[in-house]
Amino acid sequence: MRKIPSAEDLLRDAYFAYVCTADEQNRPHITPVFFYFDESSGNIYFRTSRSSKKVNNLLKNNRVSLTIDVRDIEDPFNNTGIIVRGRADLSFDDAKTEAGSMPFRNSILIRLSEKYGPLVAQVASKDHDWTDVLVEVKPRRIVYWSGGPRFSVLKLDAVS
Amino acid sequence: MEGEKWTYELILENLPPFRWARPGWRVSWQFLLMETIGIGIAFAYNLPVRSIIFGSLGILMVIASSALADQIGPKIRSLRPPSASLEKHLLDRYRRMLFSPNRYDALLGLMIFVPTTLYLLLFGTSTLDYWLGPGFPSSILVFVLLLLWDVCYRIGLGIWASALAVWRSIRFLNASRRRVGSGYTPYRELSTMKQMDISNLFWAMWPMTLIPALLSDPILVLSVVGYASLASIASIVSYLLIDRVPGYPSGILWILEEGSFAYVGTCTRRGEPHVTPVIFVFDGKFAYFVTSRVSAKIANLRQNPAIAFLVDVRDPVNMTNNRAVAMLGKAKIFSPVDFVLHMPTILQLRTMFHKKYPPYMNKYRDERSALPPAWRTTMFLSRLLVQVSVEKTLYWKQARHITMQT
Repeated sequence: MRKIPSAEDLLRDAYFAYVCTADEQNRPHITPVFFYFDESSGNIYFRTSRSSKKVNNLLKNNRVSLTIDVRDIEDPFNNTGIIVRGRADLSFDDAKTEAGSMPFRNSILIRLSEKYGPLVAQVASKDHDWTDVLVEVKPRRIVYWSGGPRFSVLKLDAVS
Repeated sequence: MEGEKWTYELILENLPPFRWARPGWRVSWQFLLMETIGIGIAFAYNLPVRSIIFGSLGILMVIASSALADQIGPKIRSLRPPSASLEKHLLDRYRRMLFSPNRYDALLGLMIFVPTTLYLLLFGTSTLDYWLGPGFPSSILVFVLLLLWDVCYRIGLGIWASALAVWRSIRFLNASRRRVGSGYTPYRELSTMKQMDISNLFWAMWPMTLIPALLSDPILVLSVVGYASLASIASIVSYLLIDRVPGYPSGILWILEEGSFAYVGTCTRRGEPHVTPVIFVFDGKFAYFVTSRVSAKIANLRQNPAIAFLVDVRDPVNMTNNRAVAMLGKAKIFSPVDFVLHMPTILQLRTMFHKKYPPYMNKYRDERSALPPAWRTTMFLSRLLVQVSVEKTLYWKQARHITMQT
Protein backbone atom coordinates (compact mmCIF):
# COMPACT_ATOMS: atom_id res chain seq x y z
CA MET A 1 0.00 0.00 0.00
CA ARG A 2 1.34 3.39 -0.89
CA LYS A 3 2.26 5.96 1.69
CA ILE A 4 -0.57 8.21 2.71
CA PRO A 5 0.42 11.80 2.04
CA SER A 6 0.27 14.22 4.94
CA ALA A 7 -1.20 17.66 4.64
CA GLU A 8 2.33 19.02 4.16
CA ASP A 9 3.04 16.45 1.42
CA LEU A 10 -0.07 17.56 -0.43
CA LEU A 11 0.78 21.23 -0.12
CA ARG A 12 4.29 20.59 -1.36
CA ASP A 13 3.80 18.01 -4.11
CA ALA A 14 0.26 18.15 -5.50
CA TYR A 15 -0.07 19.62 -8.98
CA PHE A 16 -3.45 21.24 -8.89
CA ALA A 17 -5.36 23.27 -6.39
CA TYR A 18 -9.05 23.96 -6.98
CA VAL A 19 -9.79 27.53 -6.06
CA CYS A 20 -13.27 28.65 -5.18
CA THR A 21 -14.24 32.33 -5.02
CA ALA A 22 -17.60 34.07 -4.87
CA ASP A 23 -19.02 36.94 -6.90
CA GLU A 24 -21.14 39.82 -5.62
CA GLN A 25 -24.28 37.67 -5.64
CA ASN A 26 -22.39 35.00 -3.65
CA ARG A 27 -22.35 32.67 -6.62
CA PRO A 28 -19.35 30.36 -6.34
CA HIS A 29 -16.78 29.95 -9.09
CA ILE A 30 -14.09 27.25 -9.33
CA THR A 31 -10.91 27.00 -11.35
CA PRO A 32 -7.95 24.65 -11.22
CA VAL A 33 -4.59 26.40 -10.65
CA PHE A 34 -0.89 25.59 -10.39
CA PHE A 35 0.23 26.62 -6.93
CA TYR A 36 3.20 26.89 -4.60
CA PHE A 37 3.14 26.45 -0.82
CA ASP A 38 5.64 28.60 1.06
CA GLU A 39 6.55 26.65 4.20
CA SER A 40 8.10 29.55 6.06
CA SER A 41 5.03 31.80 5.84
CA GLY A 42 2.47 29.03 5.54
CA ASN A 43 0.88 30.82 2.59
CA ILE A 44 -0.25 29.39 -0.74
CA TYR A 45 0.55 31.23 -4.00
CA PHE A 46 -0.80 30.96 -7.50
CA ARG A 47 -0.59 32.99 -10.68
CA THR A 48 -3.53 34.01 -12.78
CA SER A 49 -4.78 36.64 -15.19
CA ARG A 50 -6.23 39.96 -14.13
CA SER A 51 -9.03 39.48 -16.60
CA SER A 52 -10.04 36.21 -14.95
CA LYS A 53 -13.26 35.78 -13.06
CA LYS A 54 -11.46 34.86 -9.86
CA VAL A 55 -9.44 38.09 -9.77
CA ASN A 56 -12.65 39.97 -10.45
CA ASN A 57 -14.31 38.17 -7.56
CA LEU A 58 -11.36 38.49 -5.19
CA LEU A 59 -11.14 42.25 -5.70
CA LYS A 60 -14.64 42.51 -4.24
CA ASN A 61 -14.55 39.62 -1.78
CA ASN A 62 -11.15 38.30 -0.75
CA ARG A 63 -12.50 35.19 0.92
CA VAL A 64 -11.27 32.05 -0.79
CA SER A 65 -11.46 28.30 -0.36
CA LEU A 66 -9.22 25.76 -2.02
CA THR A 67 -8.98 22.01 -2.15
CA ILE A 68 -5.85 20.00 -2.80
CA ASP A 69 -6.26 16.25 -2.99
CA VAL A 70 -4.99 12.97 -4.36
CA ARG A 71 -7.60 10.59 -5.54
CA ASP A 72 -7.81 6.92 -6.26
CA ILE A 73 -10.53 5.73 -8.59
CA GLU A 74 -10.02 2.15 -7.41
CA ASP A 75 -10.19 2.73 -3.70
CA PRO A 76 -11.99 5.50 -1.85
CA PHE A 77 -9.95 4.59 1.24
CA ASN A 78 -6.92 6.02 -0.53
CA ASN A 79 -8.36 9.47 -1.09
CA THR A 80 -6.59 12.17 0.81
CA GLY A 81 -6.97 15.89 0.71
CA ILE A 82 -7.14 19.22 2.44
CA ILE A 83 -9.57 22.07 2.30
CA VAL A 84 -8.12 25.48 3.00
CA ARG A 85 -10.20 28.45 3.95
CA GLY A 86 -8.49 31.80 3.89
CA ARG A 87 -8.11 35.31 2.62
CA ALA A 88 -6.45 36.33 -0.62
CA ASP A 89 -4.07 39.17 -1.38
CA LEU A 90 -3.48 40.18 -4.99
CA SER A 91 -0.36 41.74 -6.45
CA PHE A 92 -0.37 42.86 -10.06
CA ASP A 93 2.77 42.60 -12.18
CA ASP A 94 2.94 46.29 -12.99
CA ALA A 95 1.85 47.52 -9.59
CA LYS A 96 4.13 49.76 -7.57
CA THR A 97 4.82 47.19 -4.91
CA GLU A 98 6.76 48.16 -1.85
CA ALA A 99 10.47 47.90 -2.45
CA GLY A 100 10.88 45.38 0.38
CA SER A 101 8.37 42.95 -1.06
CA MET A 102 9.88 42.70 -4.54
CA PRO A 103 12.63 40.18 -3.76
CA PHE A 104 10.15 37.99 -1.89
CA ARG A 105 7.69 38.19 -4.74
CA ASN A 106 10.35 37.24 -7.24
CA SER A 107 11.46 34.34 -5.10
CA ILE A 108 7.89 33.04 -5.12
CA LEU A 109 7.81 33.24 -8.90
CA ILE A 110 11.06 31.32 -9.06
CA ARG A 111 9.71 28.67 -6.67
CA LEU A 112 6.61 28.33 -8.84
CA SER A 113 8.60 27.73 -11.98
CA GLU A 114 10.90 25.36 -10.08
CA LYS A 115 7.94 23.30 -9.01
CA TYR A 116 6.33 23.11 -12.44
CA GLY A 117 9.49 23.43 -14.45
CA PRO A 118 9.21 24.41 -18.08
CA LEU A 119 5.49 23.60 -18.17
CA VAL A 120 4.34 26.80 -16.55
CA ALA A 121 6.97 28.88 -18.28
CA GLN A 122 5.81 27.42 -21.58
CA VAL A 123 2.16 28.10 -20.94
CA ALA A 124 2.89 31.57 -19.60
CA SER A 125 5.08 32.53 -22.51
CA LYS A 126 2.39 31.77 -25.09
CA ASP A 127 0.39 34.69 -23.93
CA HIS A 128 1.58 37.05 -21.26
CA ASP A 129 -1.95 37.93 -20.19
CA TRP A 130 -2.36 34.42 -19.02
CA THR A 131 -0.52 35.17 -15.77
CA ASP A 132 -0.04 38.71 -14.64
CA VAL A 133 -1.33 38.52 -11.09
CA LEU A 134 0.19 36.76 -8.10
CA VAL A 135 -2.39 35.66 -5.56
CA GLU A 136 -1.36 34.99 -1.98
CA VAL A 137 -3.75 32.89 0.09
CA LYS A 138 -3.36 33.23 3.84
CA PRO A 139 -4.99 30.14 5.36
CA ARG A 140 -7.30 30.65 8.32
CA ARG A 141 -8.31 27.02 8.66
CA ILE A 142 -7.12 23.81 7.07
CA VAL A 143 -9.14 20.59 7.20
CA TYR A 144 -7.32 17.38 6.35
CA TRP A 145 -9.04 14.12 5.55
CA SER A 146 -7.56 10.78 4.82
CA GLY A 147 -9.22 7.50 3.95
CA GLY A 148 -6.49 5.17 5.14
CA PRO A 149 -7.27 2.00 7.04
CA ARG A 150 -9.44 4.27 9.12
CA PHE A 151 -11.12 7.43 7.99
CA SER A 152 -10.13 10.49 9.84
CA VAL A 153 -10.96 14.12 9.49
CA LEU A 154 -8.46 16.31 11.24
CA LYS A 155 -8.91 19.96 11.80
CA LEU A 156 -5.55 21.64 12.05
CA ASP A 157 -5.10 25.16 13.21
CA ALA A 158 -3.94 27.62 10.61
CA VAL A 159 -0.29 27.03 9.82
CA SER A 160 0.65 30.63 10.33
CA MET B 1 -36.92 36.35 -42.70
CA GLU B 2 -39.48 36.30 -45.49
CA GLY B 3 -40.93 32.94 -46.43
CA GLU B 4 -40.51 31.76 -42.87
CA LYS B 5 -44.00 32.75 -41.81
CA TRP B 6 -47.26 30.91 -41.81
CA THR B 7 -49.81 32.17 -44.31
CA TYR B 8 -52.01 32.87 -41.36
CA GLU B 9 -49.37 35.12 -39.74
CA LEU B 10 -48.92 37.08 -42.96
CA ILE B 11 -52.68 37.60 -43.21
CA LEU B 12 -52.92 38.92 -39.66
CA GLU B 13 -49.95 41.23 -40.11
CA ASN B 14 -51.05 42.73 -43.40
CA LEU B 15 -54.82 42.59 -43.62
CA PRO B 16 -57.22 45.09 -42.08
CA PRO B 17 -58.73 45.11 -39.51
CA PHE B 18 -56.09 42.86 -37.89
CA ARG B 19 -53.09 44.91 -38.97
CA TRP B 20 -54.44 47.81 -36.96
CA ALA B 21 -54.65 45.72 -33.79
CA ARG B 22 -51.76 45.31 -31.38
CA PRO B 23 -50.09 41.91 -31.88
CA GLY B 24 -51.42 40.49 -28.60
CA TRP B 25 -54.97 41.47 -29.54
CA ARG B 26 -55.09 40.11 -33.06
CA VAL B 27 -56.32 36.71 -31.94
CA SER B 28 -59.07 38.27 -29.82
CA TRP B 29 -60.21 40.41 -32.76
CA GLN B 30 -60.29 37.35 -34.95
CA PHE B 31 -62.47 35.58 -32.39
CA LEU B 32 -64.87 38.53 -32.05
CA LEU B 33 -65.22 38.85 -35.80
CA MET B 34 -65.92 35.16 -36.36
CA GLU B 35 -68.38 35.00 -33.45
CA THR B 36 -70.27 38.08 -34.67
CA ILE B 37 -70.62 36.60 -38.14
CA GLY B 38 -71.63 33.22 -36.68
CA ILE B 39 -74.28 34.65 -34.37
CA GLY B 40 -75.52 36.90 -37.17
CA ILE B 41 -76.03 33.89 -39.43
CA ALA B 42 -77.74 31.98 -36.63
CA PHE B 43 -80.23 34.82 -36.19
CA ALA B 44 -80.75 35.33 -39.91
CA TYR B 45 -81.60 31.65 -40.37
CA ASN B 46 -83.40 31.39 -37.03
CA LEU B 47 -81.19 28.49 -35.90
CA PRO B 48 -81.52 26.76 -32.48
CA VAL B 49 -79.22 27.78 -29.58
CA ARG B 50 -77.17 24.59 -29.85
CA SER B 51 -76.10 25.61 -33.36
CA ILE B 52 -74.50 28.70 -31.82
CA ILE B 53 -72.78 26.55 -29.18
CA PHE B 54 -71.47 24.02 -31.69
CA GLY B 55 -70.38 26.77 -34.07
CA SER B 56 -68.56 28.47 -31.21
CA LEU B 57 -66.71 25.25 -30.41
CA GLY B 58 -65.47 25.17 -34.00
CA ILE B 59 -64.50 28.84 -33.88
CA LEU B 60 -62.68 28.33 -30.56
CA MET B 61 -60.68 25.50 -32.10
CA VAL B 62 -59.63 27.74 -34.96
CA ILE B 63 -58.74 30.57 -32.58
CA ALA B 64 -56.80 28.31 -30.21
CA SER B 65 -54.62 27.03 -32.99
CA SER B 66 -54.11 30.58 -34.23
CA ALA B 67 -52.92 31.54 -30.75
CA LEU B 68 -50.53 28.57 -30.69
CA ALA B 69 -49.22 29.40 -34.16
CA ASP B 70 -48.65 32.91 -32.84
CA GLN B 71 -46.43 31.44 -30.14
CA ILE B 72 -44.64 28.82 -32.20
CA GLY B 73 -43.79 30.97 -35.23
CA PRO B 74 -41.56 33.47 -33.37
CA LYS B 75 -40.01 30.64 -31.33
CA ILE B 76 -38.88 28.79 -34.43
CA ARG B 77 -37.47 31.97 -35.92
CA SER B 78 -35.56 32.64 -32.66
CA LEU B 79 -33.58 29.39 -32.95
CA ARG B 80 -29.86 30.06 -33.34
CA PRO B 81 -28.06 27.75 -35.76
CA PRO B 82 -26.28 24.90 -33.93
CA SER B 83 -22.51 24.76 -34.36
CA ALA B 84 -22.71 21.03 -35.19
CA SER B 85 -23.12 20.97 -38.98
CA LEU B 86 -25.38 17.88 -39.15
CA GLU B 87 -27.71 19.41 -36.60
CA LYS B 88 -27.64 22.77 -38.32
CA HIS B 89 -28.68 21.23 -41.66
CA LEU B 90 -31.37 19.23 -39.94
CA LEU B 91 -32.83 22.27 -38.21
CA ASP B 92 -32.75 24.23 -41.48
CA ARG B 93 -34.60 21.43 -43.24
CA TYR B 94 -37.13 21.19 -40.46
CA ARG B 95 -37.84 24.90 -40.66
CA ARG B 96 -38.12 24.84 -44.43
CA MET B 97 -40.57 21.96 -44.31
CA LEU B 98 -42.66 23.49 -41.55
CA PHE B 99 -43.03 26.74 -43.51
CA SER B 100 -43.03 24.90 -46.80
CA PRO B 101 -44.39 26.79 -49.82
CA ASN B 102 -45.74 23.42 -51.03
CA ARG B 103 -48.37 23.71 -48.33
CA TYR B 104 -48.39 20.11 -47.16
CA ASP B 105 -50.49 21.31 -44.24
CA ALA B 106 -53.23 22.55 -46.58
CA LEU B 107 -53.01 19.32 -48.58
CA LEU B 108 -53.52 17.29 -45.42
CA GLY B 109 -56.39 19.58 -44.47
CA LEU B 110 -57.96 18.92 -47.85
CA MET B 111 -57.48 15.17 -47.44
CA ILE B 112 -59.50 15.39 -44.24
CA PHE B 113 -62.01 17.95 -45.47
CA VAL B 114 -63.11 16.20 -48.67
CA PRO B 115 -63.96 12.79 -47.17
CA THR B 116 -65.60 14.43 -44.15
CA THR B 117 -67.77 16.61 -46.38
CA LEU B 118 -68.77 13.69 -48.57
CA TYR B 119 -69.51 11.59 -45.52
CA LEU B 120 -71.65 14.35 -44.00
CA LEU B 121 -73.60 15.02 -47.18
CA LEU B 122 -74.17 11.36 -48.06
CA PHE B 123 -74.58 9.65 -44.68
CA GLY B 124 -74.60 12.45 -42.12
CA THR B 125 -78.11 13.85 -42.34
CA SER B 126 -78.67 13.03 -38.69
CA THR B 127 -75.52 14.99 -37.73
CA LEU B 128 -76.53 17.98 -39.84
CA ASP B 129 -79.97 17.88 -38.24
CA TYR B 130 -78.28 17.66 -34.83
CA TRP B 131 -76.21 20.75 -35.62
CA LEU B 132 -78.77 22.93 -37.37
CA GLY B 133 -82.15 21.60 -36.30
CA PRO B 134 -84.44 19.60 -38.60
CA GLY B 135 -85.52 21.20 -41.86
CA PHE B 136 -82.62 23.68 -42.12
CA PRO B 137 -82.32 25.69 -45.35
CA SER B 138 -79.65 24.15 -47.60
CA SER B 139 -77.98 27.53 -48.34
CA ILE B 140 -76.61 27.57 -44.78
CA LEU B 141 -74.43 24.58 -45.69
CA VAL B 142 -71.99 27.00 -47.33
CA PHE B 143 -71.19 28.54 -43.93
CA VAL B 144 -71.05 25.13 -42.25
CA LEU B 145 -68.57 23.89 -44.85
CA LEU B 146 -66.48 27.06 -44.49
CA LEU B 147 -66.11 26.49 -40.76
CA LEU B 148 -65.58 22.77 -41.37
CA TRP B 149 -62.75 23.60 -43.74
CA ASP B 150 -61.17 25.87 -41.14
CA VAL B 151 -61.33 23.09 -38.55
CA CYS B 152 -60.04 20.43 -40.97
CA TYR B 153 -57.18 22.69 -42.00
CA ARG B 154 -56.09 23.07 -38.34
CA ILE B 155 -56.25 19.32 -37.87
CA GLY B 156 -54.15 18.87 -41.01
CA LEU B 157 -51.68 21.38 -39.63
CA GLY B 158 -51.62 19.45 -36.35
CA ILE B 159 -50.85 16.19 -38.15
CA TRP B 160 -48.17 17.86 -40.23
CA ALA B 161 -46.54 19.59 -37.27
CA SER B 162 -46.48 16.54 -34.99
CA ALA B 163 -45.29 14.14 -37.69
CA LEU B 164 -42.56 16.58 -38.63
CA ALA B 165 -41.59 16.99 -34.96
CA VAL B 166 -41.12 13.24 -34.54
CA TRP B 167 -39.05 13.07 -37.70
CA ARG B 168 -36.92 16.01 -36.54
CA SER B 169 -36.40 14.59 -33.05
CA ILE B 170 -35.35 11.13 -34.26
CA ARG B 171 -32.89 12.61 -36.73
CA PHE B 172 -31.66 15.16 -34.18
CA LEU B 173 -30.91 12.54 -31.55
CA ASN B 174 -29.01 10.49 -34.14
CA ALA B 175 -27.10 13.53 -35.36
CA SER B 176 -26.17 14.52 -31.81
CA ARG B 177 -24.49 11.13 -31.34
CA ARG B 178 -22.24 11.86 -34.29
CA ARG B 179 -20.97 15.22 -33.08
CA VAL B 180 -17.35 15.93 -33.89
CA GLY B 181 -14.96 18.52 -32.50
CA SER B 182 -16.60 21.42 -30.78
CA GLY B 183 -19.93 21.17 -32.61
CA TYR B 184 -23.10 21.01 -30.54
CA THR B 185 -26.57 22.49 -30.06
CA PRO B 186 -26.92 24.78 -27.01
CA TYR B 187 -29.53 24.01 -24.34
CA ARG B 188 -31.57 27.10 -25.16
CA GLU B 189 -32.30 25.72 -28.64
CA LEU B 190 -33.08 22.26 -27.30
CA SER B 191 -35.51 23.64 -24.74
CA THR B 192 -37.16 25.83 -27.40
CA MET B 193 -37.81 22.67 -29.42
CA LYS B 194 -39.26 21.01 -26.32
CA GLN B 195 -41.53 24.00 -25.70
CA MET B 196 -42.74 23.66 -29.27
CA ASP B 197 -43.54 20.01 -28.63
CA ILE B 198 -45.58 21.03 -25.59
CA SER B 199 -47.48 23.57 -27.71
CA ASN B 200 -48.04 20.81 -30.26
CA LEU B 201 -49.45 18.60 -27.53
CA PHE B 202 -52.09 21.23 -26.72
CA TRP B 203 -52.77 21.63 -30.40
CA ALA B 204 -53.23 17.87 -30.72
CA MET B 205 -55.64 17.62 -27.81
CA TRP B 206 -57.78 20.65 -28.57
CA PRO B 207 -60.10 18.92 -31.10
CA MET B 208 -61.40 16.86 -28.16
CA THR B 209 -63.44 19.96 -27.29
CA LEU B 210 -65.43 19.33 -30.49
CA ILE B 211 -66.79 16.06 -29.14
CA PRO B 212 -70.07 17.55 -27.77
CA ALA B 213 -70.89 18.59 -31.34
CA LEU B 214 -70.20 15.11 -32.70
CA LEU B 215 -72.15 13.00 -30.22
CA SER B 216 -74.78 12.19 -32.84
CA ASP B 217 -72.28 10.09 -34.78
CA PRO B 218 -69.88 7.67 -33.04
CA ILE B 219 -67.71 7.42 -36.17
CA LEU B 220 -66.90 11.13 -36.02
CA VAL B 221 -66.20 10.91 -32.25
CA LEU B 222 -63.86 7.97 -32.83
CA SER B 223 -61.98 9.79 -35.62
CA VAL B 224 -61.40 12.85 -33.45
CA VAL B 225 -60.32 10.78 -30.44
CA GLY B 226 -58.05 8.73 -32.69
CA TYR B 227 -56.46 11.82 -34.18
CA ALA B 228 -56.01 13.50 -30.81
CA SER B 229 -54.38 10.45 -29.23
CA LEU B 230 -52.02 9.76 -32.13
CA ALA B 231 -50.93 13.39 -32.44
CA SER B 232 -50.51 13.68 -28.65
CA ILE B 233 -48.38 10.55 -28.53
CA ALA B 234 -46.29 11.92 -31.41
CA SER B 235 -45.69 15.18 -29.53
CA ILE B 236 -44.74 13.37 -26.33
CA VAL B 237 -42.37 11.04 -28.21
CA SER B 238 -40.77 14.04 -29.91
CA TYR B 239 -40.33 15.77 -26.53
CA LEU B 240 -38.76 12.72 -24.91
CA LEU B 241 -36.33 12.24 -27.81
CA ILE B 242 -35.14 15.85 -27.75
CA ASP B 243 -34.85 15.59 -23.97
CA ARG B 244 -32.12 13.00 -24.53
CA VAL B 245 -30.02 15.24 -26.78
CA PRO B 246 -27.09 16.62 -24.77
CA GLY B 247 -26.39 20.36 -25.01
CA TYR B 248 -22.62 19.89 -25.11
CA PRO B 249 -19.95 19.15 -27.68
CA SER B 250 -18.57 15.61 -27.58
CA GLY B 251 -15.33 16.66 -25.87
CA ILE B 252 -17.12 18.22 -22.92
CA LEU B 253 -19.64 15.41 -22.77
CA TRP B 254 -16.78 12.97 -22.55
CA ILE B 255 -15.28 14.83 -19.58
CA LEU B 256 -18.63 15.00 -17.82
CA GLU B 257 -19.32 11.32 -18.40
CA GLU B 258 -15.83 9.92 -17.88
CA GLY B 259 -14.44 12.32 -15.27
CA SER B 260 -14.25 10.48 -11.96
CA PHE B 261 -14.21 13.34 -9.52
CA ALA B 262 -15.86 16.71 -9.35
CA TYR B 263 -15.12 19.70 -7.18
CA VAL B 264 -18.21 21.26 -5.69
CA GLY B 265 -18.04 24.95 -4.86
CA THR B 266 -20.68 26.48 -2.62
CA CYS B 267 -20.93 29.75 -0.78
CA THR B 268 -22.56 30.91 2.44
CA ARG B 269 -24.99 33.78 2.40
CA ARG B 270 -22.23 35.91 3.87
CA GLY B 271 -19.86 35.20 0.97
CA GLU B 272 -17.60 32.51 2.42
CA PRO B 273 -16.79 30.02 -0.37
CA HIS B 274 -16.16 26.31 0.17
CA VAL B 275 -14.87 23.64 -2.20
CA THR B 276 -14.75 19.84 -1.78
CA PRO B 277 -14.29 16.84 -4.08
CA VAL B 278 -17.16 14.41 -4.72
CA ILE B 279 -17.94 11.43 -6.91
CA PHE B 280 -20.80 12.10 -9.30
CA VAL B 281 -22.77 11.01 -12.36
CA PHE B 282 -23.99 13.06 -15.30
CA ASP B 283 -27.16 12.04 -17.14
CA GLY B 284 -26.72 14.23 -20.21
CA LYS B 285 -28.48 17.14 -18.58
CA PHE B 286 -27.92 17.28 -14.84
CA ALA B 287 -24.99 16.28 -12.65
CA TYR B 288 -25.82 14.42 -9.44
CA PHE B 289 -23.80 13.78 -6.32
CA VAL B 290 -24.56 12.37 -2.90
CA THR B 291 -23.29 14.02 0.23
CA SER B 292 -23.66 13.94 3.97
CA ARG B 293 -26.59 15.69 5.53
CA VAL B 294 -24.21 17.39 7.98
CA SER B 295 -21.65 18.52 5.38
CA ALA B 296 -20.70 22.15 4.88
CA LYS B 297 -21.95 21.84 1.27
CA ILE B 298 -25.50 21.12 2.39
CA ALA B 299 -25.42 23.85 5.03
CA ASN B 300 -24.26 26.33 2.39
CA LEU B 301 -26.68 25.15 -0.30
CA ARG B 302 -29.61 25.48 2.07
CA GLN B 303 -28.65 29.14 2.51
CA ASN B 304 -27.69 29.74 -1.09
CA PRO B 305 -28.46 27.29 -3.94
CA ALA B 306 -25.82 28.75 -6.28
CA ILE B 307 -23.23 26.10 -7.12
CA ALA B 308 -20.05 25.69 -9.13
CA PHE B 309 -19.32 22.15 -10.27
CA LEU B 310 -15.95 21.43 -11.84
CA VAL B 311 -14.95 18.15 -13.47
CA ASP B 312 -11.46 17.61 -14.79
CA VAL B 313 -9.58 14.89 -16.57
CA ARG B 314 -5.85 14.73 -16.01
CA ASP B 315 -3.25 13.36 -18.36
CA PRO B 316 -0.82 11.37 -16.21
CA VAL B 317 1.98 11.89 -18.74
CA ASN B 318 1.60 15.58 -19.48
CA MET B 319 0.15 17.57 -16.64
CA THR B 320 -0.57 20.63 -18.78
CA ASN B 321 -2.88 18.47 -20.86
CA ASN B 322 -5.45 18.85 -18.13
CA ARG B 323 -9.01 19.38 -19.37
CA ALA B 324 -11.77 20.73 -17.21
CA VAL B 325 -15.42 21.69 -17.43
CA ALA B 326 -17.12 23.89 -14.85
CA MET B 327 -20.88 24.02 -14.66
CA LEU B 328 -22.17 27.12 -12.92
CA GLY B 329 -25.77 26.93 -11.87
CA LYS B 330 -28.22 25.97 -9.19
CA ALA B 331 -28.37 22.99 -6.86
CA LYS B 332 -31.50 21.21 -5.83
CA ILE B 333 -31.42 19.02 -2.73
CA PHE B 334 -33.82 16.10 -3.13
CA SER B 335 -36.37 15.94 -0.35
CA PRO B 336 -38.14 12.67 0.60
CA VAL B 337 -41.08 13.86 -1.53
CA ASP B 338 -38.79 14.43 -4.55
CA PHE B 339 -37.41 10.98 -3.90
CA VAL B 340 -40.84 9.41 -4.35
CA LEU B 341 -41.77 11.65 -7.29
CA HIS B 342 -38.54 10.90 -9.14
CA MET B 343 -38.27 7.20 -8.33
CA PRO B 344 -37.36 6.16 -11.92
CA THR B 345 -34.59 8.79 -12.01
CA ILE B 346 -33.29 7.67 -8.61
CA LEU B 347 -33.12 4.04 -9.73
CA GLN B 348 -31.37 5.06 -12.93
CA LEU B 349 -28.86 7.14 -10.94
CA ARG B 350 -28.21 4.21 -8.61
CA THR B 351 -27.35 2.04 -11.61
CA MET B 352 -25.15 4.80 -13.04
CA PHE B 353 -23.24 5.16 -9.76
CA HIS B 354 -22.69 1.41 -9.53
CA LYS B 355 -21.50 1.23 -13.12
CA LYS B 356 -19.19 4.20 -12.82
CA TYR B 357 -17.73 3.49 -9.38
CA PRO B 358 -17.91 -0.27 -8.76
CA PRO B 359 -15.02 -0.34 -6.22
CA TYR B 360 -16.52 2.58 -4.32
CA MET B 361 -19.96 1.12 -4.19
CA ASN B 362 -18.65 -2.30 -3.14
CA LYS B 363 -16.44 -0.78 -0.48
CA TYR B 364 -19.31 1.29 0.80
CA ARG B 365 -21.43 -1.82 0.98
CA ASP B 366 -18.87 -4.28 2.38
CA GLU B 367 -17.08 -2.06 4.83
CA ARG B 368 -19.90 0.02 6.07
CA SER B 369 -18.93 -0.39 9.68
CA ALA B 370 -15.47 1.04 8.99
CA LEU B 371 -16.96 4.23 7.59
CA PRO B 372 -17.68 7.24 9.74
CA PRO B 373 -21.46 7.75 10.01
CA ALA B 374 -21.36 10.70 7.62
CA TRP B 375 -19.99 8.53 4.78
CA ARG B 376 -22.53 5.75 4.94
CA THR B 377 -24.77 5.65 1.93
CA THR B 378 -28.12 5.37 3.65
CA MET B 379 -30.11 7.91 1.75
CA PHE B 380 -32.03 10.36 3.95
CA LEU B 381 -30.70 9.05 7.20
CA SER B 382 -27.38 10.70 6.67
CA ARG B 383 -26.93 11.22 2.91
CA LEU B 384 -28.71 13.55 0.52
CA LEU B 385 -28.93 13.56 -3.27
CA VAL B 386 -28.10 16.86 -4.96
CA GLN B 387 -28.98 17.74 -8.55
CA VAL B 388 -26.92 20.39 -10.34
CA SER B 389 -28.57 22.29 -13.19
CA VAL B 390 -26.44 24.41 -15.48
CA GLU B 391 -26.79 28.07 -16.28
CA LYS B 392 -23.33 28.65 -17.67
CA THR B 393 -20.53 26.34 -18.70
CA LEU B 394 -16.81 27.03 -18.68
CA TYR B 395 -14.27 24.85 -20.44
CA TRP B 396 -10.52 24.63 -20.15
CA LYS B 397 -8.22 22.76 -22.44
CA GLN B 398 -4.50 22.68 -21.80
CA ALA B 399 -4.82 25.38 -19.18
CA ARG B 400 -6.70 27.62 -21.60
CA HIS B 401 -10.09 28.96 -20.99
CA ILE B 402 -12.69 28.58 -23.75
CA THR B 403 -16.12 30.20 -23.44
CA MET B 404 -19.20 28.49 -24.76
CA GLN B 405 -22.89 29.24 -25.18
CA THR B 406 -25.42 27.42 -23.05
